[in-house]
Amino acid sequence: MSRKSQKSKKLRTQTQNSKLRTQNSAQNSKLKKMNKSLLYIGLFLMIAFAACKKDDSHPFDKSPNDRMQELLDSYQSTFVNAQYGWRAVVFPDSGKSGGYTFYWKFTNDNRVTMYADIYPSTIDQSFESSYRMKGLQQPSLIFDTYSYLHILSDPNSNVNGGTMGKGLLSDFEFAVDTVTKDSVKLTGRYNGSKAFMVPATQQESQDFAGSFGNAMDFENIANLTTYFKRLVLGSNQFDISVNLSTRTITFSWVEGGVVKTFTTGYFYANGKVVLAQPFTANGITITDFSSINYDAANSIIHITAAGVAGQIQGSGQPILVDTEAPQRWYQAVLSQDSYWYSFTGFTIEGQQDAYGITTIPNFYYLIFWPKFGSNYDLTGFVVVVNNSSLSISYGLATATPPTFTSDGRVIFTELGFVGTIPPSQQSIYDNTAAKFTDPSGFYLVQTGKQAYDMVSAKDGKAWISWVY
Amino acid sequence: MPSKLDNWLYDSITHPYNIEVKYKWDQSELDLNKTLVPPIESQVQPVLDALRQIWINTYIAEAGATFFKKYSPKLIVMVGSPSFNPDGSITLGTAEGGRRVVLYDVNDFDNTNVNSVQQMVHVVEHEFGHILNQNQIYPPEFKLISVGKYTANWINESDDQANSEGFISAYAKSAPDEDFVEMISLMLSNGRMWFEMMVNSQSDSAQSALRSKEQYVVSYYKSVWNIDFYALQTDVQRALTSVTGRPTLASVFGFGKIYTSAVWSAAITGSSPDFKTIFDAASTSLDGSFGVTLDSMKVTFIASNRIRVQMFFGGYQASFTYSFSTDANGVMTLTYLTADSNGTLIKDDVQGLLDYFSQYHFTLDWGFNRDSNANLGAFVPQESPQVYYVGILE
Repeated sequence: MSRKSQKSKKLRTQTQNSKLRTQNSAQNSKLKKMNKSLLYIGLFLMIAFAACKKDDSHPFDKSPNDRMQELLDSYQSTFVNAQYGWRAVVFPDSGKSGGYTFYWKFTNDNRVTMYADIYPSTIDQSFESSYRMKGLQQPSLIFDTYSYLHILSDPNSNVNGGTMGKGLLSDFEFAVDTVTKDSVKLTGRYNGSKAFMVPATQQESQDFAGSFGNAMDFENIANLTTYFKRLVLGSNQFDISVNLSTRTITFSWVEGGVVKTFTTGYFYANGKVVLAQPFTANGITITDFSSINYDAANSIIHITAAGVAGQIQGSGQPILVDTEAPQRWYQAVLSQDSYWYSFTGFTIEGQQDAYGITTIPNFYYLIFWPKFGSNYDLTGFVVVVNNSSLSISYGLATATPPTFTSDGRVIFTELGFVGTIPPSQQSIYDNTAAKFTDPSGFYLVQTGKQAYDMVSAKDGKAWISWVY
Repeated sequence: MPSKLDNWLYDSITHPYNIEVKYKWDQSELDLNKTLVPPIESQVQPVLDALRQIWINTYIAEAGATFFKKYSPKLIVMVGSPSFNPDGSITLGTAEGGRRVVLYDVNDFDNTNVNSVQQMVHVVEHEFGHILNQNQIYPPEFKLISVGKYTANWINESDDQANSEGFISAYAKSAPDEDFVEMISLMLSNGRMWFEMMVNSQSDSAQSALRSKEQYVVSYYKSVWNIDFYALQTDVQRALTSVTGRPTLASVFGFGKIYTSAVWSAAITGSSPDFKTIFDAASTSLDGSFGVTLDSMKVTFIASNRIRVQMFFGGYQASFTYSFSTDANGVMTLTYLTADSNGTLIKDDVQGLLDYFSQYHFTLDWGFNRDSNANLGAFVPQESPQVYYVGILE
């Protein structure tokens, strides 16, 4: 499932305005102090060595600065000297996210040419930018002008599907941990991203896109129209949920009657989706998906995993229904006299806000408020009034409480509407109300402490993500 | 090894204006708590070239190179992304101690997009305004104009709302210092017609607050820095037009051009109250003579050297013809020629309006109106810019 992170809050940006800031001098002095202490360590070592080996010449005949520079130079020449450049996989967010793969060709005059498996354009067209080596407590590699690598770090989440203001928590300043001519290990200085470099082959340097084979056909999982996605491997079945931005995959399966989950990052390699951590359950271990083939006509992704030919397909139900979830969901806000809200309403067959509620002027969110009236629950359309306050302009009244079935569904019964619906919004209301009161009802899937997805039990092709 | 860009920066910015530019990532210049990214290299020169023409060269033209070099920030740090704040706002520029300016959102800059260039110019003029204030404070009386209305909750207000309370922008509501430099920067980046029409759309009390703030800014520039603010404003707008390639009104409005007429009616929000006074006087006189009032007016280029002024009243119309000439600076001079038969009949009643067109020298400028998608064009008297004639272009 490719749901990108929901807007956590609807915020108005004041793009016209700039802000004056006073200098954060603490920050500068801290850096100075750190540099200094590095210097002390260097001096201490020199004294210690000098004391022990009296008759020897100084073990370090150069200053710490010179030695750092020598190290940086030697690293740089390793980077530059790889004949066909480097293939690097970067795992953002302390390595918790899956990997993005880069091709980097460094030159001695601080230029780097790259490709990346982020967008079709970044995998096909090279981009040149600047880098430098710098001693920052540790020898560091800094990509110091914007490049494909920075797409992952960009705080504008529209470019990377991450969090607004943070991006994917990636890095472009790396501490160089280990360097050999066959491999390099880097750690991001701010978000702890892990990066691993190996020399690229001539083939990879000439056709980076081709080096993935058809691995990225896996992203067609976004085209499967149901909320639940089922991985079928012979007699084994797993629900899988995929975040294409953070490149993470969550497996859910039933063990001893309860649902267990396992989440890991993944990255694309030649013809394969490789799991960062192998997944073991039901006696099988999955390290990757290979032989990936998307059958668009039947909405099936054929894969091979754990040596078994299998498939990923849409599913109308979860692998195990959380039968208590609807009541938990209902009680959670009822007990607080509060309400659930959703900024985008129904997603249908993968299309977010399928009924266009966000096109309503000044629309803020859709809410579900149990016992709003003494004898009804309200699904309200909330708008911003006068730029400052929120108001329920109209809504759907359903019987309170709704029907909770023993097989784990909640069913809403329409009583009527409250408020005044402008003619131009009638169809938005009608569509939403009709889907909401679908007699098949909904499953609830808890996705966080205060977050549930409400999924149509009819076919799994419609859902609303509620938070509060 | 300096790149072509580095050489350009040295030759075009650092050497002539004593400003160092840092576009390569240096975390020590930036807030550690913010997620930021460096600029795309190819964006650096377009941003600075635009700022050189629109901000640097205009100050130098009005105040001299020595002034600029003395007060210019010594370091410009460029950042590719905006800086996102926890309250949902984004920061586009910061200035510190009059020495260093950080410009954000460089990667979204588009020098063919007027709004994008205005935004960057706004940021730089804003920060430069702070630098000037840090050297010579503005009169404290300025703070009394909107006293009690400044709030940390400016973020919850729209610019329109702030305008209606006598502020040039929502951010101007955050504090008097910001109010003062928002006045400076937005009057410069958006131009005089924008300001006039924005002010003239407001209530009397908001108008008087905005007019008073305008006067403080203009006199601060004159008395402290010996700069003619309106001349600087004109220079900035001219440079902005040149950088963005936006069409001047004169290039599309005239005989044989896209637009040939500008239609005025009292319904155009933001039109000049001073012009309306002249119009209303003519209307009253006409009412006294013929029992009809003036409804609207239309000014049309009917030949390369002729303009027709039409007046509409109670289903009738009258036409007056002027000859005109335009000098090298685009300044138009109109000379009254003739009237048609209805014109002859009402001439005495509408003499004030007829004199209006012959008594001033006019430049053409775009009008601004947030309520309307129609294009507006204005005849702006050089001698009295506030008495402008603005009409819907046809």
